[in-house]
Amino acid sequence: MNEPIHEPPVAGAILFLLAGPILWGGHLLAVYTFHAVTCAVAGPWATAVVPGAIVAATLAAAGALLLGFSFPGKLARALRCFDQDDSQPFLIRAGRLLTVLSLAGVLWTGSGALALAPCVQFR
Amino acid sequence: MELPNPDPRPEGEVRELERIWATPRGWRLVTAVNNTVIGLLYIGVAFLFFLMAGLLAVVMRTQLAVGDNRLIDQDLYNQMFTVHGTTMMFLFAVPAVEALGVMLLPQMLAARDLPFPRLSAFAIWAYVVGGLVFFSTIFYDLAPKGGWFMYPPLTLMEYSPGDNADFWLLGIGFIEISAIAGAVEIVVGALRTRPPGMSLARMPIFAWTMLIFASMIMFAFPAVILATMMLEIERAFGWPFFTAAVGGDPLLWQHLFWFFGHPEVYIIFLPAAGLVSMMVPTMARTPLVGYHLIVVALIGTGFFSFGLWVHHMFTTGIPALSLAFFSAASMAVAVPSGIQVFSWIATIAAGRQRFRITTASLFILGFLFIFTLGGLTGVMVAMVPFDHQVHDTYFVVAHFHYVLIGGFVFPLFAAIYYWMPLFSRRMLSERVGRWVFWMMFVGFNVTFLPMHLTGLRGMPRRVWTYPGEMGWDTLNLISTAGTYVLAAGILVFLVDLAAKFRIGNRAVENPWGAGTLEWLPNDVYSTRSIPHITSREPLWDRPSLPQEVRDGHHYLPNAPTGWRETIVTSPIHARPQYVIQMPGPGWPPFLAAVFTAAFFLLLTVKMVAIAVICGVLAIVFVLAWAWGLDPGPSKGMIEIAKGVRLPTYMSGPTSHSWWAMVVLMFVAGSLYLAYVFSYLFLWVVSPEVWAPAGSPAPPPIGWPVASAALLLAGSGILWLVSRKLQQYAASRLAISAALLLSLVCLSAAFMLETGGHLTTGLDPGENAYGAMVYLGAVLFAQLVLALLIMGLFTLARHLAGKLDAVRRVTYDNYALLYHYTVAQSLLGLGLIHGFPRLIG
Repeated sequence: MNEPIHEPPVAGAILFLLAGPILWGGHLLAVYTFHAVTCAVAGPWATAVVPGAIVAATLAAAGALLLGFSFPGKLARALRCFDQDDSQPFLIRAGRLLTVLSLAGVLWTGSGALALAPCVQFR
Repeated sequence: MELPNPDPRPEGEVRELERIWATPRGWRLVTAVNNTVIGLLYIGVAFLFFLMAGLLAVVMRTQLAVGDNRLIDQDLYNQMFTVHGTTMMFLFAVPAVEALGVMLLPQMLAARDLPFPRLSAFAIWAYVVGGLVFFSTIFYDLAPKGGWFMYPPLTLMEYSPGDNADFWLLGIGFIEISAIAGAVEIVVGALRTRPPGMSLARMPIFAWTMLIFASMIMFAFPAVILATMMLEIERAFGWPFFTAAVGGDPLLWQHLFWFFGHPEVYIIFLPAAGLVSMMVPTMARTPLVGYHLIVVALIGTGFFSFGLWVHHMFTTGIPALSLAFFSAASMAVAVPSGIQVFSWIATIAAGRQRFRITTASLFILGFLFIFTLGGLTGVMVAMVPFDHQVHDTYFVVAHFHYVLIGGFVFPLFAAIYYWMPLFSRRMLSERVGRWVFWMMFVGFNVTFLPMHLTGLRGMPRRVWTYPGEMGWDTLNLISTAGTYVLAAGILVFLVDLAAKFRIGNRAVENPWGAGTLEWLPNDVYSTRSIPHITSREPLWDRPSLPQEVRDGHHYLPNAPTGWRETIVTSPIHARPQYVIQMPGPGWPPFLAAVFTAAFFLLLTVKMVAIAVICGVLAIVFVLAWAWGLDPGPSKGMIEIAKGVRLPTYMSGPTSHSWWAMVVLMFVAGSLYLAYVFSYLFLWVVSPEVWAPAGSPAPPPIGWPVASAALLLAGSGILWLVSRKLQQYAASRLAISAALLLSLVCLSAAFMLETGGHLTTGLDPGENAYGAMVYLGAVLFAQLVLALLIMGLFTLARHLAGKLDAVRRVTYDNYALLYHYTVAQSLLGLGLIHGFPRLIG
């Protein structure tokens, strides 16, 4: 009665599909939180730390996204959502496209650190 | 493809389906739960709110037609723009989208209904009653006046005395709960009630958009629910979350509100885009170009929209670099939106025949024009320096009306014309429809295009009048004239609707020659049999499908359990898993909704005793409704197709009930994360009021450790109960005692946590730190109360013999929420007791 037909875990499939956007969201949250808290509590040395840290976080996120884009099969296996069914190419294609979108978002977000003073208010 | 049920079906099956799915008549109509009935009510009431809020807009535009006008006074104007915005966003747009989901999703998925029809009915009736009462406040000077965003400090008791703001906070608060109930239904419905063979890659775009819409509600609405709780608590009890003098911060409201408010725009737009993606291929008579890209764009837009909230706060003094992060995200979201627009244009261009121009097509083309303009001005206001120039001016009013009316109202009208034949015996007039479109299109642009200039000339938003010599008169007069043309177009539509709309089975099966499942032959039971799907446009690829379905040659052509039922399929590949028995019409959801609405509204006017009685009655009716659920496996296995037998009951992670509880846990988790954010935000803003330096230090470590130990013990007890249930090894008494013990552990943990803070002398009204600590206890208390009710209900079912090793859905739900509560509370204990020690 309680033995359903099995297929790959849906949580894995959702994570696979959203891996790129999740990384983008994590990057945005991390750089925004770090920037806001550092500027609020760290005093003068915040201006020295913030740009480098944001650039480093951006490069790390971009690298992870490029890995996800280049090796989607490995990611799918790691998340236990790989099977041979007809949905698989769909998931892989959609996941990779989302990774590209996220990569653009991450680079766009992080590029601000190269151009703007870290803790100056815009008024 | 071999037919699932190739043999002729026995006579009488259709009559049996009609009997089982019959709509209640007369005064019992309010007990109906069928999606086609309550969906119509839902969309009808949403449209009523659109008309009423639109009338307020006409009055406001008349007031603004010339400078120094005295048609209405300032106070009424403030109430009007607040109710207009609130109604359009909370009572029209989101409910209208959910209504479309309730109405269309089961038809597009060829399901007999969504999996929790009574939950839909509850959500809809709560919305109807609560919404009408909220709107009526404008007639007796009780309407809120703080704008649809209700910024403190303006909305604190000091500056907004009276009950007006409370109507917004409590009224909207429970309408949000209604929206979440609808979202649970839609997530589970879209993922679990698709027809066999309809894998994710074959799912209609509208189903994708509804899935994303509901997921966004799960994560966006909790932030504003927490914000409304905090503001109401500050107004009622003086806990200073937003009072800067004692460590609060009005900006916290803006963060929480816009974390909901910006995704809200996409919550409204994405389903409308989904409707367009369904209609364009039909009118172009070719499959949608770039299906994969559109799915990616929808997911990307939905996700990115959560990273844009600060672009509503560009002028609040946030450091420039932070603004740049959100400016970038705001511009990045234009990319997936653009993908969709290009895909629709490509589909129109790709058609082998000329794009068919109907009223629905005209509204789609109007949408493309208007929404694209709104998107372009969106990119403009995403740029920080430009936003500084136009912030709080009519340029912004023009921008968001282009986005929201263009991006939602025009597609909605297209959808009404397109899908009307599903629900009415007569179609709307195409000739009149063209008049409607052109009046609305011209009226809209004449109203809102000049507002860009009015704004660039410096006219601020939310002013009830302006001096005549400012040079704004002509532009405002043109806008007002346009409003009347727009309103006239809608009036013509209403006349046509009154003349043509007649509830009943469709006169023409598939008038537009569409390829998707909602155009299969339908009746009160949806389709006679549930088709096996092999493509995205099954009606185009298999022209014989309607007849096969009508003749019962596909799945579940009858009602083998003798009750309402539909097939539950796996979430990715849509493989049949089991048959769900669904409840039919009943009074409990209706009465529970009425008393829920009464509880919140009576609380607003401080009639606490009657409110509490209504709250208790609401819980009683919910329990009465839940008692009839979880039918158990008494019906055994049934045959849904030749040689295909499925169980009629399922518990555990495969069951739809489990899925609903997990969705609810995500909602609770989002709410709690918003709380954690608020706690840390206020600490960053006002570390001087934080313990241990600025407030009494947290209680000794023994208090939280004991509380945590009790929580873990409760979880452990339930883990043991799960095992014993599986093994049939425990006596009824032992299980009962264990369930009670789990409740005792939970209640004791809560009392220890709250009592510990009381012993330190911490006062929630003293400063923001105290308020945040006790707010954590309030959130804990909510879950404890819910679990007490669920635990005692589970115990009662156990004692009544309705809980055992197999029939255990009620227990599973209780245990799931219990374990979640333990996890959340442990995180809370770490934050409340660990963080002050960490910084101290």
